[in-house]
This record gives sequence, C-alpha cells and structure tokens, in this order.
Amino acid sequence: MSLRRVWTLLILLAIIALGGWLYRDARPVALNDADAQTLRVARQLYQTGQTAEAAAMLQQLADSGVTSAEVYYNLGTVYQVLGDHASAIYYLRLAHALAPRDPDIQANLNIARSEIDAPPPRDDALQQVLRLVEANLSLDETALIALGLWLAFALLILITGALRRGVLRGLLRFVMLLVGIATLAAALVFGVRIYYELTEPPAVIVMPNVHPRPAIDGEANTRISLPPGSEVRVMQLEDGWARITLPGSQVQGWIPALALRPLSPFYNISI
Amino acid sequence: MTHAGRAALRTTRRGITTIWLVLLALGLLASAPAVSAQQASAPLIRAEVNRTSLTTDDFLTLSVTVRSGSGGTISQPIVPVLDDFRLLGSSITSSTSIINGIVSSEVIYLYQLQPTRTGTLEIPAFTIDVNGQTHSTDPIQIQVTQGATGALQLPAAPTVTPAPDVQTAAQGPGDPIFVEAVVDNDTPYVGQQVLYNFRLYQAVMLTGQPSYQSPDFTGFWNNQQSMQAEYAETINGQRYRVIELTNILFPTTSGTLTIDPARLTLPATFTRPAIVLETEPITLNVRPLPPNAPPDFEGAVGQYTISVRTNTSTVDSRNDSVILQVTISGAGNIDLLPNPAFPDTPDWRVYDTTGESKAQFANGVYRGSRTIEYVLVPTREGQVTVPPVRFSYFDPNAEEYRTIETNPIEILVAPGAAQAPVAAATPIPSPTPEATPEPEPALAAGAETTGLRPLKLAGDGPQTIGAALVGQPAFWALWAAPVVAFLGNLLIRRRERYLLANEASLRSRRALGKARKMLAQARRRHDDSHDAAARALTAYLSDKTGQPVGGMTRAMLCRMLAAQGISPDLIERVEWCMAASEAGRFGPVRDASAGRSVLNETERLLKQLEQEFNT
Repeated sequence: MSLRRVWTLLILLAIIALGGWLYRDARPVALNDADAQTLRVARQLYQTGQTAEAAAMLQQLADSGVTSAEVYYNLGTVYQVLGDHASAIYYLRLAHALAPRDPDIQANLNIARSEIDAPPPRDDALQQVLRLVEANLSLDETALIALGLWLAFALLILITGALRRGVLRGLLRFVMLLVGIATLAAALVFGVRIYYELTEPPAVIVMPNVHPRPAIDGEANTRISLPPGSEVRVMQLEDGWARITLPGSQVQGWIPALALRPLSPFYNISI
Repeated sequence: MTHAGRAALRTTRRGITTIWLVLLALGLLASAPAVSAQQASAPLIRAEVNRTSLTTDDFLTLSVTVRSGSGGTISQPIVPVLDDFRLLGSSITSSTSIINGIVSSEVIYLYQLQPTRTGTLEIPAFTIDVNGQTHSTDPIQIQVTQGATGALQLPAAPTVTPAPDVQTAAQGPGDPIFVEAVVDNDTPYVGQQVLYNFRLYQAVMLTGQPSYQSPDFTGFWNNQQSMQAEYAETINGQRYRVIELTNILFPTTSGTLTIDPARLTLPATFTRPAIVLETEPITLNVRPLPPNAPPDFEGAVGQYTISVRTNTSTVDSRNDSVILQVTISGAGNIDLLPNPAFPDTPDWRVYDTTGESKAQFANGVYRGSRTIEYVLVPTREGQVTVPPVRFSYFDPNAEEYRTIETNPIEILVAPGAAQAPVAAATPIPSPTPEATPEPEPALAAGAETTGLRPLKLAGDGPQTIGAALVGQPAFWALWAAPVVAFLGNLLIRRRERYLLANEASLRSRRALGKARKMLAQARRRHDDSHDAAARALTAYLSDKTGQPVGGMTRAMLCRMLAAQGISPDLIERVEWCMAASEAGRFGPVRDASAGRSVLNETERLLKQLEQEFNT
C-alpha cells in the first residue's frame, strides 16, 4: 500500500475517532430523572400559585450546572410572573440561545422584553444578518453545519482527485463547487458569531439605575438610563468596570461590571 | 415658784433625762443581738414575682434572692422544670452589707417568664443546697388569662453562627438536656409523606431563649409549616419536658437522601458558654415510583378521592358557560397536586383552568383538597355530556397506581343568540361560604392574562445540551483534519518527486547501510559467507557508481574504480575480496573460517571505500 493511501486512511480514521469523541462529549442528552422530577415539581408549584418556591427550585437546578433550554425557559417565565424582568430576559435569552426556533421561548422573551423600557436595537446590515441567524440557529448548530460542510467539501476533493476523467468526475466537481460556496458562507457566519462572542460577549443588565459613564473616572450620564433587562454587549473589562455598547445604537460607556450578568460562555476568557 | 422649788424641778428633769438616756442605751445594747438573731433566722432563699396576674402576651419577673450562708458563700439555686412558663431571659445582681460587723451577701437571680397557657399556674419551688441541707422557696400561684396573640412558638432562627466560646455538647438520654431527630419512614417513595420530628428533651429549666436551626431538607419538598408540641416523658426514671417540632416532607427525588443535623444553640449564661446541640444526620433510601404509570399520571402520590359538580345543568348554547368544579381530596402533598387535564371532546371547549388547595396537618397526616375549576363552553346544542375527568396517582400504601374519575354530567344546552364572554358564567356557590377564604388569583390564570406560554416538562422541548461544541478540542481538531490531510499529502507528493529526481544520489548515500545490512543478515542466518560478501560488495559498488557491476570483469571493475578516484591499494583489496569470494563459492572445499575472514575483510573494506568515495 502506498504511503499516500496509508496517510488518507489514517486521516479518515482520525476523523471518525474525533467525531465519536465529540459526539460523546457534546451530544444532547435528556434530563436525568431527578432533574426531570424537579422540573415537574416546580411546574406544579407554579400552577398552584407558589411562584417564588418554583423560582427557587428552578434556580437551584440552573445553578447546579444543568444546561437545558427547558430549565432556562421555565425559570425565565417564572421570573417574568414574579416581575423580575431582568432575570426573565436573562434566562429566556439563555434558553433562546440553546433552542432558537422554539416558539414558546420566543413568545415569552418578546413579552419580557416588552415590559422594560430599553431603547430598541438598531442593527447595521451585518448585525441584521447575524440576528437573523441567531434567531434560527444556535451557536452549536451553526458550528455543526459549518463543520459538516467543510468535511464534506474535503471528502469531495478526495473522491474527485481519485476519479479518472468522466461524467461522474465532472458532476462531482460541480457538486464540490456548490458545497465549497456553502462551506465558505457557513464558515463566514460561524466565524462572525464566534468573533462577536469573543470580542463583544452579550450580557444583561440586572441592576436598576445604571447610567453609563464616558470614562471609568468620569461623571455618570444620568440622561441615559439602562433599565434592568437591557441587553448589551461588553467590549472591555477593567478594574471592576465594563465598557458596554447597546447593539446598533450610539450608546456606549462604562458601567459597574457587577451590574451585568454575562450570557456568553466566553465572557471571562475573551475580554 | 421659789428658788428651791426650781432647783428641785431641774434636778427631777435631769434625772428623767438621765433615765431616758440609760434606757435608750440599754435598749440599743439589747437590740443588737436581736437584729443579729433576726438576720440569722432569715431564709437563705426566697422568691418573689412582680405580678401575680397577667395574660399570655405578658411576662413577669421572678426574683430569687439567695443569701450567703454561715461560711459567707453563695449557692446557686436549682431551677425547677417550669412546665407552664417559657423562660425569656435572666440576669443577676448582687449586694454586700456589713451590719454590726457581720458581713452578709445577697445574690438576686432575675428571670423573665412568659406563661404558655391560661389558668392558675404555679411557679414551683427553687432550691439550694447548703451543707447538705436543702432550702427552698415557696411555690407562687399566678393567674393567667388569654392574650391577644396566643402562646408564643419556639422561634426558628434562620441561621446560627457559633460564637468563639460556643461549645458543642455530646448528649443523649441521661443528660439533663439533649436533642434528637427522627423520621417516621426511612424508605419512602418519591412524593410520599415523611414526618421529620425534632425533639428537645430538658430535665432542667433552660436559661435564655434557645435558637433552632432547621436542616436544609435538600431533596425534599418542605411545606415550611413546623408543628410544635410539648409534652412530658420519663426516660430511665428521669422526667423530661419535651418540645417537638414536626416538618412535613415529601421527597422529590429517588436515591439515598441525607437530612443534615438540626442544631439547637443554648445561649451563654453567667455560669457557662453557649452550647450547640446537634442531632444525628438521617439517611433515607427514597424509592423511585414503579414503572408502568398510567399515561395521565403527573406525579401525584397519596390516597385520594374525586368529586365533581357544576354550577348549572342548563345553559344557553351561545351565551353561557359551565363551570365544572372537580375536587380531589385525600392525604398527600395537596399543595403540589397537578390539575387533571380535561379530556379532549368536540362538545366542549375549555377556556380557563384554575386551582386552589387547602390542606392541614392532623393526626400525623397532611390532608386536604384541591379544587380545580374548568370554564367550559358548549360547541353544540342539545343534551351534552361533560365527560369524566380522570386523575391518576400512586398509592404508596398499596404500592400501585390508581386511576379515579368523575361521573359524567348531562347538561342541557338550549339554543342561544350571540356569543357572550366567558366571564358571564355564574360561579358555583360554595357550600360553606363562611369557611371558604377569598381565593387568590391562580397563577396560571394570571400568566394567561399576560400571554405567557406555560412551563415545560422534561421532554417537551429541546433536550439538555452537553458541553458547547466550540469548547471541545475535538471540534477544532475536526476542522484541522482536512488541512492536515492536505498538507500531509503535499509532503508525500514532494517526497515522491524528490525520490524520483534523486534516485542515484539516494542510492549512493544509502549504499553502505544497505551493504552492512546484507552482511549482518548473512551472519544472523548463517548464510554462505563468501556469497554474502560478494553480493554485499557488488551491491555497494553498483549503488555507489550508479552502474551495475555484476556483469563486469574484475579488470573493468578495477578501471572503473580507478576512474572514480579510489586508491590502488583499495582497488587491490576489492579485487582480492572478489577473488576470495569466487574461490570460496566455486571451490571444491567450503572453509567456514575462511568465509568469516572474507566477510570481516569485506566489512572493513566497505568502510574504507565509503571514506574514499566521500572524499
């Protein structure tokens, strides 16, 4: 067997092994029985009017590290009923990030957003595209699509290179071109999302009377007030202060980092 | 009056004064032992209260005065068990006096007491022991009437932070004060009632208000209602007053659950530091509910019955709605009973569902009822049946699932005119209006008015997500795999091209290694040494010169080597080796030792040839 074939075989085996490893660590799994039971009890509490108790139970579940759209959705909804719109938006955003096409999450998030007096976002073209993608695909789904297309493109190159001239090779080359374009687009979208997640991770303001300052040691601009629940992006962290921007708006400034609750898992490592 | 008469009068007055003075002096002298005797006969301990009539909302101050004994020392009184009073606090004052040279001391112990019940109560006698003799106070009768707020509950302190001088006491039956915690069932099913009892045993009166820290009850639904009971119990001949706090728990998850220790902190007094008493942790093995649950089972555990009623039996098809009231009664976690779903039927539309629970703890069981109201609107006219509403639960006593259902109800739907709002429905009159509290708006209904979507159960929506893909090394390794494959392929191609273009040079570089390998192999396999030496030398020279030397005559070979710049003596040795090999291979006698020497000579020759070729 030629060295080239051995190498190709090794790479294919490596891809299969890596795929298995990734599936093992990152595959979606159902809630375990205890967590499902907690979810059920919290729902019963909610139905019987014991909203605060339901919130405490769900909060405990969320704090235990369970990453579940159901838990986040229920917690956000319960907080919305309790009138804590900031926490409601925060947890509904977490739920939406995991399950962006869930109509219940979208509906309750819209209701929670309508309760606060935050300035409406004015996105530029790129951010509009990004928002459109975010509304339909989670970050993991975007990543998976881009990766799948990329591997398919590589496989097509391999197969096309191995084929002699003929109709099938011509057809495959055409398919390869289409897949290549799709790969480029998907990688671009994925890259932009990762870029924004790393450089401007999203966060929710959870404290009242937050007024951005032009500088850390500057005067607070009391004309601009960011109500609890305002969704911002964090551009910089320094000495317990965060430089934030409201997506699509001219509002920028420094606010205490404690007033923020980060939505991105990259918050602490990216800025 | 004459002078003699005045003198006699003055003498008489002086005499009277003198008599008075003498009598006074005698009296004083006589009174000293009397005072001393009175002091000596005073009781060593006495008790007084500032009031003898009060309500259960008030408190009284009991002062117990202890006088020093003959030795000048003060004994501490023994506080009896005050069954009918709660000790709110205590303090101490002391005084010392010297009367007629006699030094005496008094210590006054002040206790704030609050009655726990009404009636004629008695403060028992306080005692002290002096030189083996017991002295005691008289019991005091107190009249107590009912206050506005009733008896106080033992307050549950949310947290207890032990002070540095706090000591944790090991304790148990036989000690004057100890605590214990027990559960009535340590192998319950998920959702089954468990009673957690914390008991404080006290054989002596506690000074100060103890603070109780309840366990967290992680893994349980705790309805936050602590029931308190007080009773007396005799253990090993010792009479204890027992305060029992009961929590109603419902396990929310299966497996081994541990209830952490409860803590009771007795505040520091003037004679000892604060003491923390802890119960033992309790471990329960919570059994999961068995499989094969009915499809409509939503987690109810207990024993229940179901009943149904409607607010009317006749409605206008377009103008009225029917309120169907389903009541589930029984023992179990009434607070968390799910609302049974109204069955799908084309005859009725369900517009609103509200629920209200009422429950209480009685005879060791948490029982009550949950009433669910469905607002139904008929979709057709005529005799329309409200279908049975089913409710499934798990009975932990029978250890099986049970399904109960309401009876169907016939409603006559008369033809109507226009659609009316659902709120026009007539409420169902309560059978006991005075006993029914004003119902709070149900949350589900409140949520519906805001348009919020309902909560989800596990499996309703997306599943739990594992670790984020972008945080996985395997994810980025997969992205890199095609690139690595491409680069590796590129390197392989370049190597192949290089090998093709530099075959002669490569063969020349590898010639010595290849020849040595052949010699080593021959030695290992015990091949013919002459033959091996000839093959190794021929192969080496072929690779080095780039020409096949196998077919050359020895003279041609020597000329070619000379042309390559090999020294004559080496050429001569090459020639000798070739000749010796041929002689050994084709000669009549095979000499093994001669073969080995040819092999060794060939190896040395190869090394020197390599040096010559390289220079």
